[in-house]
Amino acid sequence: MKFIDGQLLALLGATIAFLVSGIGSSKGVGTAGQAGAGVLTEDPSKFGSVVILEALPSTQAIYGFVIAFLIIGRITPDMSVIEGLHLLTAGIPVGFVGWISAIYQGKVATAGIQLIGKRPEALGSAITLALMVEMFAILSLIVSILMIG
Amino acid sequence: MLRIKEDDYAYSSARIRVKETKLLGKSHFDRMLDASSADDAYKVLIESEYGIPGRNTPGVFAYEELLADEMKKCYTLLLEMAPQPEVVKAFQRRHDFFNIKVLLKAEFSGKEMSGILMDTGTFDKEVMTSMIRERDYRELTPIMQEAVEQARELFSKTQDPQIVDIILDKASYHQLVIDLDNIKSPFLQRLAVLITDTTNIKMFIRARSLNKSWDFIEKILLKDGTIAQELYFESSGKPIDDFVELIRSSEYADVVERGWEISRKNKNSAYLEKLLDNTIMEYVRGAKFVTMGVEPLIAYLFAKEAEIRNVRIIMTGKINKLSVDLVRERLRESYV
Repeated sequence: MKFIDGQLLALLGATIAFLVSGIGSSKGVGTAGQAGAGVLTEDPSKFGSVVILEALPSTQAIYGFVIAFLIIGRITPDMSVIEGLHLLTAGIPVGFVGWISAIYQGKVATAGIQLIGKRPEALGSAITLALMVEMFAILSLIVSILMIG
Repeated sequence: MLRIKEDDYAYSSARIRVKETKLLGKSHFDRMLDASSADDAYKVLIESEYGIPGRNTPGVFAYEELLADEMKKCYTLLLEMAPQPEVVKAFQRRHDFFNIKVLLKAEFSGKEMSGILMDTGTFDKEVMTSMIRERDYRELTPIMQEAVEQARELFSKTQDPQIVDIILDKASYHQLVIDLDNIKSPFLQRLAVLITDTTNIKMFIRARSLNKSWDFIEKILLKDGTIAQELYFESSGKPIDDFVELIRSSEYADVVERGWEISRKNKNSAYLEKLLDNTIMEYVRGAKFVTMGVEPLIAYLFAKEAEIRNVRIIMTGKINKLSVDLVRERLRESYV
């Protein structure tokens, strides 16, 4: 058996898609969650708004999961190294864009949580600002899907 | 050097943002100013959650106790949530120096002054009292140790209590600069520079208004500022207008010029000092745009200090029945 085969490369693609975006989401949600705790310490009534903002950076991991799932579904026992490389490449956009965008979305969400700590009526604006970052994650998801074909 | 990891400040920065909404703003001050009596002004203060909950609120003439409680509450909050307490302690040490000063003066004059000791220092006031009384300075910072010893030595030579003020005030600012320089935060380092420079300008103008000589001015000036000692020296024998002219080359040109114009007419430096204080507040306000970091915490501390100062100005004004306009003119800019 060869050391590198198509299956292994494809699995690596699935790993990148989920692992990298998952790390980003963990960090993003983690930071926003700490800020949320800060606001809730002073004002527990804001739990609903805080949770919406805190959850936003978790979508990147979901996109990563979708791509990893699609890649795994494409794996066949006799796939060539080229086919494997193809799927590996497809995992990269959602993985890396997801990683960075989740961290930055976490920062915007943190600022948004501070904003609603001061002005509860600004929840809509806070969500919109954080969703702007979401767009790049969505684009990377589409690119990865197109690459899988 | 203490490194600041911004992400560690996510919790405390967000909590402070909510706390900021409870700071007293212009409308509160206006309500206090418009109150018909000192008692009514005091009521506005109590309603705004001033002081420590559950503690007996002292009467209107003991409002200073209420302010001390409020300061204590602010430090307790900051210490509780700051990931690196050293950042808060740098500012608390100013109160240690104040306590040392009070204790030394009490000892030299033989008077009892424990009532004015602050309990917002890094050392408990009882601990500090026994350390100074028993001359056991091991726990103190090197700058504190040196200052206490120097103050004792010079006082025994000159018997001049003012020397205690000069030495300890100077050491206090020096300690703040050193402490802030040890924290890797450009915001705090710049703050230290601003505090030093504005303090020097204030002290210089006050000293010159009293026609003090360079010998005296040299003793009180802080060494860590960005304005060269020569500039102060050159203008020390001349009218203050010459100093205002010389300082044109520094970043404080505008503030000093505007402030001095009014202060010269009023024949006291209060207005200029107010503008210099406002300069620091304007700088600190930059923290509003920082989501995570030491900035929001320290800005809150400054906001609280400015608020307490304004409340004090209003309360003394109300108790002494000064005109509302006069009191309003003295108020500092607030953070919110």
